[in-house]
Amino acid sequence: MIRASRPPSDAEFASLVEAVWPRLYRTAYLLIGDAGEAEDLVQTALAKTYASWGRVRSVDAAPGYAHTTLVNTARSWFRTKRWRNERPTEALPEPTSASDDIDPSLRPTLLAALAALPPRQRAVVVLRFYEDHSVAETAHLLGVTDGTVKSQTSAALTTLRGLLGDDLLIDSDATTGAHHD
Amino acid sequence: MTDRLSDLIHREATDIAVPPASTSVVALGRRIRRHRRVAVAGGVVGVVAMLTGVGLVASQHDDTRAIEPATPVDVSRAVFSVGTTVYLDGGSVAAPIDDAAIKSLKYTSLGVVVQHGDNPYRFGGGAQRYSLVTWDGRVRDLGLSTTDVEYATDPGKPLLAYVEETPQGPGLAVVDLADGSGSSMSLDLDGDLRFRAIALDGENAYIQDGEGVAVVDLPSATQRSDISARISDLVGDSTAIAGDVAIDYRDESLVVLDSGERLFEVPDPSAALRLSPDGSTALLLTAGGPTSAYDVASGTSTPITDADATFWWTADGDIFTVTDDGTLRACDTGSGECVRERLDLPVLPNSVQSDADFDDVLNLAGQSYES
Repeated sequence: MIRASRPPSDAEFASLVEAVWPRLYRTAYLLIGDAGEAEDLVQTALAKTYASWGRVRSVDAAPGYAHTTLVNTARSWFRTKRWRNERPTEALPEPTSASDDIDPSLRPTLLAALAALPPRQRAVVVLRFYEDHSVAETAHLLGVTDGTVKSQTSAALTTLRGLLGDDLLIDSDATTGAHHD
Repeated sequence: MTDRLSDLIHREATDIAVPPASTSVVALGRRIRRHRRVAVAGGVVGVVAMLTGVGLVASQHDDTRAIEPATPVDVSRAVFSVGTTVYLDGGSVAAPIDDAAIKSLKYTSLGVVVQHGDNPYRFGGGAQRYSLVTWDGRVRDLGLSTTDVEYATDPGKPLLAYVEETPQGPGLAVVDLADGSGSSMSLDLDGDLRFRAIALDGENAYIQDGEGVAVVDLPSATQRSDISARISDLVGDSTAIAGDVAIDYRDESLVVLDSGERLFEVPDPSAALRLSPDGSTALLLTAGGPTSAYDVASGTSTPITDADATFWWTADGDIFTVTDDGTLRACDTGSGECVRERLDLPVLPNSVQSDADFDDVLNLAGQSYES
């Protein structure tokens, strides 16, 4: 008969959680912008990973599986009515066309600015500039086209420039994927 | 090249206070798995991992207990029958059924429920009798006989359910396969078609009543009219349900029952979806094109080049088939890897069914979950 190799054990799953929890939590926080929701997201993603543990090809592949599951779960959350509605964000200064004139001390943090972005734009920024995924990889993770990733990146950067100032951000090549492809 | 935005995000992300690892990950994972996975035969080993403090501390059992049957291709939960013999564990365990023919096989946590009778016809074939074949090959007559009913099992629980006519109208009969006990609850169902129990999952039974899907909460023995209406709106009256997802056959889309999210639709009208008994995986079959497996948890697809429409499910969400020459073909839906093995079967299956002789009729257990 056809036999399986040894499946990963609970102990190996425990090690996985210890190893990936901080990174997944930070990604989740950047995606969600709320500590409690981020913790729920990581917990859900890891629980799904546990439930599918036997399908993980190897322990080495498990962090990637957990990360993909986290992004997919976040994507699913974003599609629900709760996330389609406007979510409250921290009070931010109005975007200005003369953003270079903003007093740096009054600028919001990047995290606060990210929270002002729509969920998909936020996800694109996090995946590309924190997770360092290429345009194609980001498109695959979010289930959209490369063109959508580029347009969402462009829109997100426009908003972030307005909030944070041009000098804090990158040049326009970022929208083409030149840096991260 | 590292740009300033990337630097800034990484700097601020570093300052994010990370809370301790949740103590609920394993418990939640087990709950998800119970919904869509088969429990280990002979009783599930108890909780073996406990999260404490900032990490996980494994119990003394952890080193040896495997969480799931796994890679590369595991057919230990592939069950099929040829004639009146049920084969388990990749064909290595044979269990003869004392009847004329086998009608269908369905996975439970204890093994497979076998529906058998005077012929292999599931409907219009007279009495439907039932046996349980445990994973180790022991056969137990369930002492149950029905006529023209569709039954449902839960691959993660020792339950069998079917809709029966009672003097008060339709009722849902539920049999606990562990001890043979049974219960029946009255149902308030509409529709003029035959009522069918289409799925058991966790604490819910799903019944198709000709106009939609009725949901029964098993612990309270009550119908959930609110959920029933919502699911009927989501998937109509033609669906397959497993785990927490369903196929809407109106447009061949995969739907999450809780949220209503449509995970995807088939790319063209000739394509079809099949949902694994545990709800972990959907198989996308395209006419003349590639077959691929969609992992519901991660949302990733895996091409399976060696599979076709003759493949059906193992209890764990992998796929297999048995060819006319007695070859077991199985594919891992996570990796796309496939294997073949020639089995030593005393009677070879015959894909061309004969009315006069049922000795070579092939049944694959996972096939029975499709509506």
